[in-house]
Amino acid sequence: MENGLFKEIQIKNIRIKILDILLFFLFTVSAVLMRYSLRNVVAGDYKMFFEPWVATLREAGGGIRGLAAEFEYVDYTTPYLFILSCISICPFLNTLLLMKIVSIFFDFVAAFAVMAIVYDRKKSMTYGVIGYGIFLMAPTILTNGAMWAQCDIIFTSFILWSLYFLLKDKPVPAMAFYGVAFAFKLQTLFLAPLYVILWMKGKVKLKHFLFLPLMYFIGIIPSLIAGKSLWELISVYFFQANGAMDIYALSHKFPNIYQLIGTDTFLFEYADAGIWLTLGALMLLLYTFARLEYELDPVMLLRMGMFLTMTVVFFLPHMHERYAILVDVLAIVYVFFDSKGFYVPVITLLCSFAGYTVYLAGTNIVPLFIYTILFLFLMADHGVFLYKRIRRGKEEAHG
Amino acid sequence: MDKAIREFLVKEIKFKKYSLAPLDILLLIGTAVAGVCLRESVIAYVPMEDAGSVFQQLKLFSMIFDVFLAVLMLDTVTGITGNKIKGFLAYGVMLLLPVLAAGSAMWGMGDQVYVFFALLSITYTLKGKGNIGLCSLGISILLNANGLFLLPVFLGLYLQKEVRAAAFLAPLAGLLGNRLLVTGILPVRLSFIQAEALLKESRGEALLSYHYPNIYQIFGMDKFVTEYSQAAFWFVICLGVMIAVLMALSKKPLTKERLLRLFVLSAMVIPYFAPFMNERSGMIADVAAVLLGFVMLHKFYVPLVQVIISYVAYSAYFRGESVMPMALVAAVSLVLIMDLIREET
Repeated sequence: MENGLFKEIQIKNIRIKILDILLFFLFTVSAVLMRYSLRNVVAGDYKMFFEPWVATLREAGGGIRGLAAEFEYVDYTTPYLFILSCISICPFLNTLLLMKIVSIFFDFVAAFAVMAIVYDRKKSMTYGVIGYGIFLMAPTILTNGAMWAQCDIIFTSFILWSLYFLLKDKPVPAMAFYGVAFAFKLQTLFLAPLYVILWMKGKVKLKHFLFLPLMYFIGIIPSLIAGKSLWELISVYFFQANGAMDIYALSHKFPNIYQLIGTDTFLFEYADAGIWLTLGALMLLLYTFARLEYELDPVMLLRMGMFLTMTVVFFLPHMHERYAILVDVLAIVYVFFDSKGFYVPVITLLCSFAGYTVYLAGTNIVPLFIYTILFLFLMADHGVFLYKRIRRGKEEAHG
Repeated sequence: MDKAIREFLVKEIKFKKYSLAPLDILLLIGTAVAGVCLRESVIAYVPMEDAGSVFQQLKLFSMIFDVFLAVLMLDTVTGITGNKIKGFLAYGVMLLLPVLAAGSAMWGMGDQVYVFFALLSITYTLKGKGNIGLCSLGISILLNANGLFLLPVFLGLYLQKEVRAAAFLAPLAGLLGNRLLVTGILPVRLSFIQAEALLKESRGEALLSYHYPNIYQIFGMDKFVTEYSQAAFWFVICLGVMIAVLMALSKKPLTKERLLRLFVLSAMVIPYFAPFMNERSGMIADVAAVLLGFVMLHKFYVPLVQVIISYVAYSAYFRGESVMPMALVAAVSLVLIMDLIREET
């Protein structure tokens, strides 16, 4: 029996054990059942935004024709609106379930990316499948789509594939996937500072950054066909960056700096100041990482990615509960590159899920400023880790 | 082409005895622009109605001193560490430091001026010019009595024969001048002393601590105000002398790092027990902690925590109440103080 479990099958260059296949099925079935149990939850966002949007798209004819619809307010780009427009005319199931199914599909797309990254690192499919399982079980990943009907996993899954190719030293597909992620969501730019560092370290080329406008343009083609103006389609991100819909709180239940100093006063003053503070902090970090000499290995790349993204969401105003999803997924991947860093995903997910709980359950058992302190501790830990690695590299270089 | 651009960005260009890379220049300009815009975002805030133009003038004046502080920090960090990258980063951090930005552009109390002279005093002392340091401290004390927070370290230096007794005339004259200015005996109307008086007037009831996270936030701010304040006055004097004596008794070599750590400790511990401290009483500690963070990188958490503690106090003033319980913040501050003391033992 034991021998049977460890029997290996060779598919091209990949060796898979029977155990891996069993684990894969266990995780997949469990992940589906976990999501199935959350299917009936209707979050406020769905009632307030998604349902009216889908109704508007349906009235305009759905599919590509639906994209011609005029919205009072919408902050999604064409690719996701196109998905919603197709959902609006789908004869099976209800809108909420269909939206959740789309997000769940991308949960698996992302989980496969994690599996591929971990397999490449460990050269073991068992670890790969465990990575796949851990990712699908992560509370924020589980609830984001299956419970909340949000679609953050779509852009996140493309970023994970971008990361996969980055770690394989293949900048063209890496940047192409990053471009696709950008076509879906502005939050992709939270990770942009890392790509600038990658350019400074010679891992990607300047021309590769053209994938961002290119993919965005490809993404808006259906709306152009439907008759929307180019300016209207391009300005979606300007409107989002403006934060016009979010001005009523400096942080939307996200454990960042505003939970320490108050989220409900100086709404305009701190909102502008927060943007400049973020830019300033990024300048200092980018300068440090660009100016110093070191070898950017995968462990550093992941730590840097988390550190830079956390810096952005820590200082930027109007951050929502879900905006650390990029940090969550990087943290899950990270643990397979440095097992001593097991606390990284634990703390990250704890802080991230705190905001989810406040939104979804409406309860706030532990004050959010406690999570902010934890979040800050983790940022400091990333900073110390990177500093030590850079210094160690320097010492080794100088014998 | 990518390689050429990258090499250009980090290529050092010589200007007389200085050498700078384009990336350094970009950082210097970029953080300056971000610093100005950061202040511009909050400058419209009026700290006190009916205060006339006192605060507006002081805001501008303070912002100029923000830049002076940043440049002084650049020079000090580069001088002590011999690493100009750290110097540039320290300059950027100073320009973006929330307590400085809010202190100048939002509140406009002119604290930056006395803090500048306090930092100058630390810089001179670290360079081995303690007597000049004391003169600079005298100016700082003249402008604001908070400059006294650093005095115990100078007393310790005197006991170790590092500074002359005559140099103490400067802080003494500073203190005397400050009292004359504050009480209005001297007919000179400095706007920041006027602003401080206006603020004091607006407070109403006397409290042992005005949102400053110190011992009184743990044990109570509004009971035994007279009794505790008198007792605390003598307590603080004894504490200052104790710091000086213990510093002199210690067999540890008086390195720049240790001296700087003592300055930070003194700037944190004195207001922790002194009565009537206000939200801005941690500013010397904030700035000195930034210097400490760049000189001793493993102590990076000291400025990080200290600045957050200070800004929580600011925020309590701006909002009227603190988001976090001030007793908890005061406890964190105590842990930080104990961490600094631990290194002295």
